[in-house]
Amino acid sequence: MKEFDSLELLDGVDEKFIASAENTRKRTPFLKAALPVAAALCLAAGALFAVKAAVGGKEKPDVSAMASDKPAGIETAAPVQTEGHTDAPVLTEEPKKVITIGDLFDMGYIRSAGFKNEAIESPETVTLIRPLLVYQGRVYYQCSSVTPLCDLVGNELAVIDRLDLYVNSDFITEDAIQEEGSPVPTEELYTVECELKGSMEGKLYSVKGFDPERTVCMRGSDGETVVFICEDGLEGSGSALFENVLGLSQRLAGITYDAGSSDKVGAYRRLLERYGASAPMQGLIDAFAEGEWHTETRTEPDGKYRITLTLDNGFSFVCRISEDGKVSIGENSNMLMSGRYLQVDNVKLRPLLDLIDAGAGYEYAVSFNRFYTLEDCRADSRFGYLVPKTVPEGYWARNTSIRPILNDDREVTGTGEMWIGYKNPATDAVISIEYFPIDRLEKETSYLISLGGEVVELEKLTVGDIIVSGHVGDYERGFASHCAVTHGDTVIVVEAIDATAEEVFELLQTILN
Amino acid sequence: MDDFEITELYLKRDGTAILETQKKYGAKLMKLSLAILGDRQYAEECVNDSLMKAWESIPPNEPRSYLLPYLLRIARQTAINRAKQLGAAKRTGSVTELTREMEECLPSDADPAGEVEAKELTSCINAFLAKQSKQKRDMFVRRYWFCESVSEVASRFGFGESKVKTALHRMRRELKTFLEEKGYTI
Repeated sequence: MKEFDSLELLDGVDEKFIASAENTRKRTPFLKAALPVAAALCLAAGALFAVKAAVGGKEKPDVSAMASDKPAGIETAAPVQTEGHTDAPVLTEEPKKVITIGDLFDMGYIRSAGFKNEAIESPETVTLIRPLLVYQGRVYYQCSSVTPLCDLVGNELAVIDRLDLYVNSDFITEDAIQEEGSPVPTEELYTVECELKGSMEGKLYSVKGFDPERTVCMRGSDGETVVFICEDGLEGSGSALFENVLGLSQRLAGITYDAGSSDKVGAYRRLLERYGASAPMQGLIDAFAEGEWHTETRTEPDGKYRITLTLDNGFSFVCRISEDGKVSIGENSNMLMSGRYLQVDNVKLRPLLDLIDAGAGYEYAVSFNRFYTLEDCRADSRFGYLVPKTVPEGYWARNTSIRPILNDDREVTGTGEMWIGYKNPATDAVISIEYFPIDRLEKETSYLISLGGEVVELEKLTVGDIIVSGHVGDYERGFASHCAVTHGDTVIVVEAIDATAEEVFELLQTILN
Repeated sequence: MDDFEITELYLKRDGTAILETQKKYGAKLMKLSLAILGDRQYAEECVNDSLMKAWESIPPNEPRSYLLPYLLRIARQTAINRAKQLGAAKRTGSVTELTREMEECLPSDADPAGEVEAKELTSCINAFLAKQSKQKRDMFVRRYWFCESVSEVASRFGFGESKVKTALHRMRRELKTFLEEKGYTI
């Protein structure tokens, strides 16, 4: 073996393992990290109380708590009252609580760390890095970074001096490495490590139009606005959050979504711009307003749909929605709102989800040359004559794609292939029609031949030429239909799922005539 | 700018894609290149080459959800190729040590240029890694994929060096056994 061969053999290590290893952060043992914070907070609290005492403040410091060996306890206090949500009041009251990292765990703020959390079924799957800060006794989690499309930043509230934390949970045994032959580690053996990170230190601001008890922000290093939300404010019912706090019905300005379950094929398109989808959006607003929080009992929400809601002031948040109306809020399952889901009426959500299912507003990128619509495809002379003028009634044109053959200089040198996908939203049938140059006849029809099918000329196609074969994926009916026809110098391959031979035949006749 | 947006810039053939990539991930690519090449100037050249390769390969690739691993993989391959060109005289001791460790547990007759063979072996290595705990796997990948020194790995995980060495030694032994069971000769 040559010197570098062994290293090269590792090139193919799975991306998820690389990403996981890349995300490991240098860390210090929990106590080593926690004690300076606790000490600093105690000192700050002590100084504060001393100043208050010196100026004749009404409150007395809790000497017993400060003198104890334990981390500084939480001083309960009446909630800070603020006026409405539109004038971004500056909170002037002094901190009522001193919070240490250990307290955060005890208080249950760090819900998905796999530590004292019965909801976590498989702790090793839940490693999180969660930016948060503590201000005026409340814990705020970062929920979004907003590019400065609008001026969100309100009044200066405070200067945060390394109060923000990256809480990095990990699951290791007491001995750090699980020894061979040792029993499977239990939760009791896990430790949690925290490290301070100063990237967020700086001025803390209110967010215009939002109550700073619930929403604050900082200016990021790249000019973006980093928004933090206090989970305290999100404990209420769906309406209390989405209407009273976020004002969804008045402020919802756009919905974007990630089509399909794989990010690799996902693309955001603005439903509102393209489809004027006001009715489906209203369904979502109503469903969210009536929704109720439930304790999360799964490690990862199985949200099929990933939707980003954008408010008129630039604030946006991501929802993952499952078929049965479970909604997790946050960029991923480990961030905001983890540990809970919002149960909403999925019937009200259905119009929006139907649009997404049908691929509305979503188009595939088309290789080097991009064609998004049927019209774009028609404009391409290589296949233009085969592209139907309209989508048959009752179908959606789900995807259109032209993939030309490129040389090393990325110049188009050949026709390549074209693909149009249709969906019948009434039956969920999907019919995919691919067009290839005739010289690819043998290659592209080999699967059909293996099923016992035959390639016929388009004009001679009959329903009997359409082969119906086995079960496909998790489709409800799950049968697939195949056929291939030739037309001039083109071979057309059809694969349909959950469409009968008659339906495939009818669609082919409609679009190719 | 998030990975999705950066990838979109590549797909639109927008030259700012490279600048944004450099801004967001330049340091990580530099660190990996430096670990393999051991020379800052070579590593800088390697990062630039890697960015150009990314520009040339997106599209057709669309690594929206795995941009960083995608870039790191390019940088790693570029750095290894560069290290090969530089010859033995300019190779760093750490790389030599690293390859020696890996040779203990990988098939002696494996040829990375043999595509099918390499894919099969990679698949076995991934299967082995998938069976490991997250922490052990991360340690292994940091050491042998990111080419970090034992002391760096130890510092990253908050352990002593001897503990890391022991863990890696055990993993190499397990990998060797695993591959032998799959029919490989080590």
